[in-house]
Amino acid sequence: MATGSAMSKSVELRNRRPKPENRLPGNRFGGTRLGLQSRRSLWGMLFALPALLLVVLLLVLPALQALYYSFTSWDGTDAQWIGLQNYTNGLFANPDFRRILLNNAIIIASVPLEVAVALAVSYLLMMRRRSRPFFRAVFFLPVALSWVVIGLTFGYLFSSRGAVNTLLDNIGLSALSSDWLAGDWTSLAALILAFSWSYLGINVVLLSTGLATVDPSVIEAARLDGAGGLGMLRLVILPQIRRYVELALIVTMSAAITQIFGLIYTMTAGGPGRSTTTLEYALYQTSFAQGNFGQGAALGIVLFVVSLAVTALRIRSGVAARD
Amino acid sequence: MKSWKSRAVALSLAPLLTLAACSSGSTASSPATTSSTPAAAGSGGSSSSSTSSAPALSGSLTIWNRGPIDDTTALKPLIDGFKKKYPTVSINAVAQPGDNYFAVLQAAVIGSKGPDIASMFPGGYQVQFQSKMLDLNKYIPQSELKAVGAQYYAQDGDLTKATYGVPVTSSFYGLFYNRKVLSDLGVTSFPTTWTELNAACTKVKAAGKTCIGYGSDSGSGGFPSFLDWSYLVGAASDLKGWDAMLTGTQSYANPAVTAQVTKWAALRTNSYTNQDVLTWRGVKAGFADGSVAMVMGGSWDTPTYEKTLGANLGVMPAPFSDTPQKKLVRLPDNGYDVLKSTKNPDAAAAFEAYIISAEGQQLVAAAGQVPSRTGIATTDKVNAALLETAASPGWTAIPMFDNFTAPSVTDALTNGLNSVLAGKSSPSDVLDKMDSATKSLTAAQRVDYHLGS
Repeated sequence: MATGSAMSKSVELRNRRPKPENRLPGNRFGGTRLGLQSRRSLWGMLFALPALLLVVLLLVLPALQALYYSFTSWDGTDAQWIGLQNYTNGLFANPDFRRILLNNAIIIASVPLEVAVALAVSYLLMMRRRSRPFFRAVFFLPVALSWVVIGLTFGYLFSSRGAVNTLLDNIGLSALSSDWLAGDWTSLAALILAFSWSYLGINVVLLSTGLATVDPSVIEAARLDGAGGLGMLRLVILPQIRRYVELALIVTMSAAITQIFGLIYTMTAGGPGRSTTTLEYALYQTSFAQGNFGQGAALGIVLFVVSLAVTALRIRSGVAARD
Repeated sequence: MKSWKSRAVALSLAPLLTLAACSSGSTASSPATTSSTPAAAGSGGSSSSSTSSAPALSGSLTIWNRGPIDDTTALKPLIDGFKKKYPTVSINAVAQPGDNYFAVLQAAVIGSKGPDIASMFPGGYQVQFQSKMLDLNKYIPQSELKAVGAQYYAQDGDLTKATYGVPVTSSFYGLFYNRKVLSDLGVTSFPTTWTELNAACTKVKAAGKTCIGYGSDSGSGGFPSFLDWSYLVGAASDLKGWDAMLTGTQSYANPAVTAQVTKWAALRTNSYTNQDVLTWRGVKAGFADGSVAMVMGGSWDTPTYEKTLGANLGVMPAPFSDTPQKKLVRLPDNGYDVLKSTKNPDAAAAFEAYIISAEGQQLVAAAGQVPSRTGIATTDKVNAALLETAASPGWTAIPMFDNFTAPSVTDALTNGLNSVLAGKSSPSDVLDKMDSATKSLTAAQRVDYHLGS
């Protein structure tokens, strides 16, 4: 009975309408008064409206415009509707396009490895407290260099008569010497290596910050329990810095998709053939070197879809890992 | 729930940012231009240099030059000469980076931020920009345009239709060679066929030198294979065949062209070229020090090579032919267009008229370049020697093929030929890709330049 009485009381309380003097004025629409939650939402939306308008104006509209132009033959001024031709003839029927997609996939797939290397470096730095500030600065140094400088330097290092081959020759491994930037896969590998090097600093700083947040007492306790080396990293530290690792992955993947242009331009110009051409570089080539902005827009849409897919996968896997 | 909402927003915005960055929404406005009779600017076309005969023009002009303002187009002396004639017109010449010049120009034109006058190549480059350029037929007499072979700056290659630019030089592609290196090895006359070239290269190779050097100054992007292509396809097909390939009615992957590209690719497999053809940065240095016997280039390279090789420098058409080579790849080019958006069309057109006038063309000759105007000879001995040979009976001039291919086909061509010589692709693969790129062109993009008529 007591329980039944409490329930009826609760229902009564829930259904009790606020007295007229307690209601907020001026929220009457269509003769129906809105609840507090709805009114808050309405005001929230109202305050968010300017920002929303900016997003629509600067992002959504140009994006829709790009979608429209991807169905046209557009030279920058005059656009003629050609339906799906930019996709069917220009992209999907073109064998080079498959290679371009593959290049993007390989570069994106290399990102976890790059973050793993950065994590290993950060972990080692954490272990060496005294030299940490110096080496952290050393690893961060490449971040201060422009993509062009990095591209030109790595271009020289990997050229047929460059430092890498000279080193191999001098240590008796001349059989391994190669015209790295002229090979189908070696050129892509050299590009990925240059990208990894240039992003190592950012990831090391990011992950070092994460490692600094780990409670030393937890590490000490784990050590007393016999954990050490890789076990400590995998079972104790990694779960605590998961969010930092995720951030490093997202930042690096985003850069791998949209910021690698400078490296490609200076190291390989997308070649040999299409060996190092990515969607981003192909977009530039098609639009600006060839003046085919319609097909460039189609490439932009594909880049958008790839970006969307990667972001979705990344978020999904992050959520799954937390669950 | 909230976290999912924010994730959804992040999910939507991240790619949107990417996409928005790829979109360009502006359209170029095209201010109406004032019309003028050809006689108004035609005075520039006369050989008279008296200031008093020139019509009163004033204002300022901005000229975009592709690459540094050096002797390649003789722009500086041309500007100086024009200023003497029209002292009230001021000119600001801007050197734009050569690598992505057309991309920069395209972006500027779309954003209505273009110059008054801009460097322009004939053929496909011109077609790409013609809707944004001023028709010079209204300003310059036909006879003047004809005298410099401006038809490749005209719509459909026809001077009676709209003409958008004028060529400053008449450039050629050729195989530069070191006379001393070849003669020391017993190659006393320049090879004219594949057989003779292979025989000469065998001797050069035996001496431990590179017969033909290929590479990239910057170490990326490969070598300019379009220089070789015109000679390869020139020996495989007549100009009517070129028209057919350009418009897609004939395949690039035909047996004659395939055979030519295969023979060319053998230059590397026979070690007549350096092996690192895509990335070697030392080609020019090697040519200068005599470790490389020959390099492909254009007439604009002659002054540079003369500085290092002096009298030892020679240039001849590339002997990529089964029969003795009697064709020179030559085209009136290195021109300038006037943009429709110019606020000073009369002065801009007067400058165009001046650079193709006899007076202007003398300045081009004095700068060591090959003038586009017939009857005015180049002062450069090396270039003059080749042109004299090519003027002999039995010789013909063929245009630069790559100027007429649509950009996507040019891309397939240059990338593809680089891969072929580097041993990464087969000739048929590359030619198939060119066919595929041609098929992908819209009807409007398959321009018939009537090269064979």
